[in-house]
Amino acid sequence: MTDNNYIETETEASSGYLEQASEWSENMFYLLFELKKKYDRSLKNKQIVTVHESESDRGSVTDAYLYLQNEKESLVDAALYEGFIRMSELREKNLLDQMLHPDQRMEKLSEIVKKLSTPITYFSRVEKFTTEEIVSSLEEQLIELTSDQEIQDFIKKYQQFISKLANNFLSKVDIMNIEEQIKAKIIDKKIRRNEINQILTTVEAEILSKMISEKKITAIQEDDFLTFTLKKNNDNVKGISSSVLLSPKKHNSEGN
Amino acid sequence: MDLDSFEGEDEEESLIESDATSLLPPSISDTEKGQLFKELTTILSRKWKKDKVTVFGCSELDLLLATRFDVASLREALEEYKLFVKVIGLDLIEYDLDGERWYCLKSSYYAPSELQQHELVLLGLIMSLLEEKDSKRVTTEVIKKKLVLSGKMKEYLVDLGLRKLVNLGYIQRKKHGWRYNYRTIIEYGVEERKKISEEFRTL
Repeated sequence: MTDNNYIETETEASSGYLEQASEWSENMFYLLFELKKKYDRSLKNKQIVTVHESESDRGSVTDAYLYLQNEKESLVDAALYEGFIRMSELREKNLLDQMLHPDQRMEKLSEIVKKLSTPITYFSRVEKFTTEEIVSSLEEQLIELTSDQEIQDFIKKYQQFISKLANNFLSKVDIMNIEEQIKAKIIDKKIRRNEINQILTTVEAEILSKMISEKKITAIQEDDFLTFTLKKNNDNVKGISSSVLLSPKKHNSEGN
Repeated sequence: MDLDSFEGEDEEESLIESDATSLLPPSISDTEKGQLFKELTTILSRKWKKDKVTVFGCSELDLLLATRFDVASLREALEEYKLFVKVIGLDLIEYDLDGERWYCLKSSYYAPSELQQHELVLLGLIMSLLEEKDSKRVTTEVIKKKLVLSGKMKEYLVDLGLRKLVNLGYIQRKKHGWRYNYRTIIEYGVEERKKISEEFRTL
């Protein structure tokens, strides 16, 4: 074989390779294009391509970058890979939807939004007066009382405040007396609900409430009338409330 | 202070400037500065409602009227205040509300969010829809299609959530659908919004 012959056969062989290569690249581009179309379509319709199929598709185009000749083909390759990623996301989302309750999924998503925020800071304040402010606004006056006579005069002068304070404390005997008074006033009588305000004073009403809650007296309401009895046998009564709130009007003779 | 009564901001500013030259001392003493910062904290950390939308802090115009400073010295004072609050982990930020400049405080690190779970999801979804490059109109129908039809949320919850997001200043209704209001832009940076939209893409 001459040199010339050798060169000729080599060029023939290389041109054959080139033809083959261009054919391959054409085929590869065709494959890329078809796969891209397939993934675009299934993503649009939310049809899931199985992992197995997706992997085999990816395997068939792994070497594609070796045959790509221009930018346009590279872009198609990139778009196809994005399609693979999106399909994987869609598959994952579908799996999550099947596995998790919607509430759980919402919770996870809300966590993400919450974590990524740095909210505006504000101080919510409620208008408040501290006790110090009120006390400081009151004026104090020091009264010096040296002799007994002065003290007596002072007490006489401010008798009303002192006696009022004393009235607030009731001894056991007082309470028993009031209880007797109440019994005399209301036991075994039919009283209109509105009228009870006129009959009892504030203190008496409070003690009546206490007696009812202690079950010393039974109060029965029939329509607009109240009956108070000492009987403890309540077989005929269906609903019993042990607490009673009475609010009589203020009497002139408050206290006892 | 009723801002609506003022017709033009520019007129008002020039008026204040001329006033302030006679009133403002050339430099503020330290005690006065302390008092000013104290009051600024009170003003800037307040939360109130303006035209049914929650707003925070105070507008620049209000601050100008209250302090009787001119614009330059107010901004200078605010710059100094910004450094002052930075020490305790707060950040003085400015935002745009109907074309006006407003100031408020923001935590540099973390603060509890005002939103409930379903509102957070709604906000995330709206972000993901708005951040998409080829985003179409983000309407209530689109949101409901994503959440209600797939059984993730009840319809009334979506309505309620949207109303609350509007009231709290996160979103606003415009001609072409839902848009961000000032608060989303303050609380979520560009990066954060991108991240959220990526997470919600698969919803």
